[in-house]
Amino acid sequence: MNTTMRNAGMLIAAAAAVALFSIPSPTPWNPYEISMGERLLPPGTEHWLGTDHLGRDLLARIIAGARPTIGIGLAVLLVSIAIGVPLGLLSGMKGGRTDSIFKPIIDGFMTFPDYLSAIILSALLGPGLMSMLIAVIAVKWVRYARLARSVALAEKEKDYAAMALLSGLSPVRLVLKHILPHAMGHVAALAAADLGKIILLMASLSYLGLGSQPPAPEWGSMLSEGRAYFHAAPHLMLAPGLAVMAAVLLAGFAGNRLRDRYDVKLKGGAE
Amino acid sequence: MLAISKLSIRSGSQELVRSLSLELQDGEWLGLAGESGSGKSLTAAAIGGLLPRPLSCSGSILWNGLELLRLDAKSRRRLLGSEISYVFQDYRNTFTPFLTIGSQLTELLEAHLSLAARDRRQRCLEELEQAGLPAERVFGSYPYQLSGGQLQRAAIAAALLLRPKLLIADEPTTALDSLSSRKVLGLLDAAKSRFGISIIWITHDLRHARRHADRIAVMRTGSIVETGSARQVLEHPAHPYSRRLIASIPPLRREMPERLAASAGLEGEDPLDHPR
Amino acid sequence: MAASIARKVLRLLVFLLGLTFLSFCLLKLVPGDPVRGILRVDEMAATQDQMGGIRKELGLDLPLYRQYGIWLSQLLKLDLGSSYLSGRPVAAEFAEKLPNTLALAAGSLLVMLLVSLPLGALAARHRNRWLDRMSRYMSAAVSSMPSFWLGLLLIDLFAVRLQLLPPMGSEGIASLILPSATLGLSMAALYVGLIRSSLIESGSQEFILSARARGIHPFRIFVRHQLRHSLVPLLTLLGESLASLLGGTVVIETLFNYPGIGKWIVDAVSARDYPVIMGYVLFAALFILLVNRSTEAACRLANPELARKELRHS
Repeated sequence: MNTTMRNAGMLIAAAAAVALFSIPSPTPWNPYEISMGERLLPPGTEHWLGTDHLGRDLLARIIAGARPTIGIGLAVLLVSIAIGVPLGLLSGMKGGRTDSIFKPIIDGFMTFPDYLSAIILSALLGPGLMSMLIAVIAVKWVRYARLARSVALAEKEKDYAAMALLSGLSPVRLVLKHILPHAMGHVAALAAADLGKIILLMASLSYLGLGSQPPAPEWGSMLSEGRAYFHAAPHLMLAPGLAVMAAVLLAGFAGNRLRDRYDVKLKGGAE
Repeated sequence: MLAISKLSIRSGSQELVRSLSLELQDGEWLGLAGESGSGKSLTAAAIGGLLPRPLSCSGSILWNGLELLRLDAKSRRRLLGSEISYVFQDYRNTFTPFLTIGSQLTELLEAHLSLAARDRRQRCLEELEQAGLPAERVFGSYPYQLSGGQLQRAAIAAALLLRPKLLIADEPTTALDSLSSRKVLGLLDAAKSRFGISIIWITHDLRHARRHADRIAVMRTGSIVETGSARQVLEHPAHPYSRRLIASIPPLRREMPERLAASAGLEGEDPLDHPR
Repeated sequence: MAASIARKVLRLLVFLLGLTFLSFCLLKLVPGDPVRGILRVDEMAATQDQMGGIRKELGLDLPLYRQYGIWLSQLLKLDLGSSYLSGRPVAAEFAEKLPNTLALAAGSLLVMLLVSLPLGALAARHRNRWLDRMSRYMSAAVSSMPSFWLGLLLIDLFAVRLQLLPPMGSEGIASLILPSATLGLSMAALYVGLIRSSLIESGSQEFILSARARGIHPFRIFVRHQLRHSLVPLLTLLGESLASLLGGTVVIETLFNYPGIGKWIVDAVSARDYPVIMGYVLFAALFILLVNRSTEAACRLANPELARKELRHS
């Protein structure tokens, strides 16, 4: 794909994100307002995307759902980074015993695929939004720890780091001023692609009944609710599914852009 | 036997080889010299139809009256490896890394001849022996188990296996240490005198040209600037570019500084270069 | 040699012990009571007495480490306990449901390979042409869909509208097609790209050119030299997707109401059926370790040079 198209894609994504998060309610309908007289209406002129099984406007719910869905995804991502990156940097910089504690933990976590560990963890913790968040964070932080660790290991060996340390710069300052900024580029590239994966993962968990519960207008639980009416009103499933797909695609595009910029070719780094 | 005329190779709008004409006699060793990017390797690849797909070529390459540029895939396959064969610079990747040398040599025989399995094996072993290699061991080895010099000699064994009429050697010695490259050139010399094959020897290094090549063609930016007998070109280069190319040959032995000599010696003893 | 194997086995045991203990603690520390679930199944009005009785019967009143000890000692006798919900031994129920999941996994792998191998090879061959672009856009779209949603679309098309295939259940091969297609397609999206780039990479290798210069038939070059060169990355990804297949089957089995171990675990979670959950955790760990080991072994077989490098490094 050429650069202009990518830039255009990024612009549209940014505009859509800003619109979703800033405009309070772009439709005249209230996403929570139940109106039993208007149940399961097909898409039409009044309700553009139709209504759900409780007569709530679907478009309003999709738009309202963008905030929790993407917002929670972002929050999970940021917490994972906030846990993983410092631990990874610490492990990589300190080496020795610290590293010999962290490395097996990281490797142990990495043995299990995201999907399975998240499902098992939510299963252990019991259904509910909170346990899903914990499960996803527990799965995701390791990737960032591993990435940060390998960046630290690689950078530590470079001449400038040795020079800086020899000339009396404290290791903490070296990390903060040089290695952390370097790591963040790689982290950003991994994170953008990850946001999509997290949204997908949470949608699946919600669908299994392990994640957020109705009546929250979150895309995953909307899909779960809509399933019962799939034959009578397919638009109930189609709309939130397409919304998830669009969000994941956009996150993927952003990830590709960032990866092109910070081409990640670290040993044991990004996937 | 080989006549290239008005050969042009282009990549999009860029002309990489420009209307090149060249002739090769039976049993002649032609050195094709020039710096990298001058189009030597492209010309060599065009003879066997081995150019990468985005490149297109026009003109004519006649092989004993056969137009090579308009050859169908099947006839070209029959020609390659048997009448015309190649040796490349990158000896590490001449053989597929996860197949034994033996299986790749027999694959070549299989592709062109119908022989019993035992005869195929025998042929290969003889040829490896000819190349001065411990035949049985090399036959059963994977490429990574051989040294660079051994690999390149095995590659020459593969190229000579079917007694080709033309051998195209694309910088076969560039990546080798001096001892190994002398052995390789010696093999080519022997093949030329024993079987009377013609050789197109592509090089950017004219050091060995005087001893081995009959004729030299100097290429620059896609065309030949000078051809002549090796002696004539080396001693009385007509074109200023040839003069510069010859002047850049490092003096052999005579005035080599000690440090350089030491490192050259080390090169021969490269620990990576030994079979493991 | 024997010592290193012993060390590996010991490490494996420690890992499993730690994993199961951790899972056990998580299960028990989190609020949620299996007893209520059991009583609800029996449709009795729960009195405190009854609940206490059942709790005692199941050993849930004991301290945590004692409970784990009991579980572990039973495990040594190869007894995973009995499901709270059905009352049947976990191992027996597991053995009954595993073949279904394996059939689904095999079916999805088949679909995945049937779709991604030809598509990846064609995309590599016609690089940057329309077919390549189409396959890239398709892969991006499919891999951005939740897999269960893709499954619903397929159900709607093939089971509801065209009425070609059964939408649910486990009656024969026909009912396996839709779930396998769903899971296989969502995995194939990843593979097409990988196969494409890996074939392009191996196609540009000098040894491919050398083989062409020897007059070897292109098909033979493709199969014997090029495809084999791409095998190691493919095997690695195949191992990874075998492992994540276990997660994928959970979702797909729930969607298609398919009686495999994935559906079983989801049902067990909502009832907090501890023995079943623990059994599943143990199985998942063993399965993944097995898959990883076999992948490594397969890669070494595919590329003898790899085996030698590892030998030198260890």
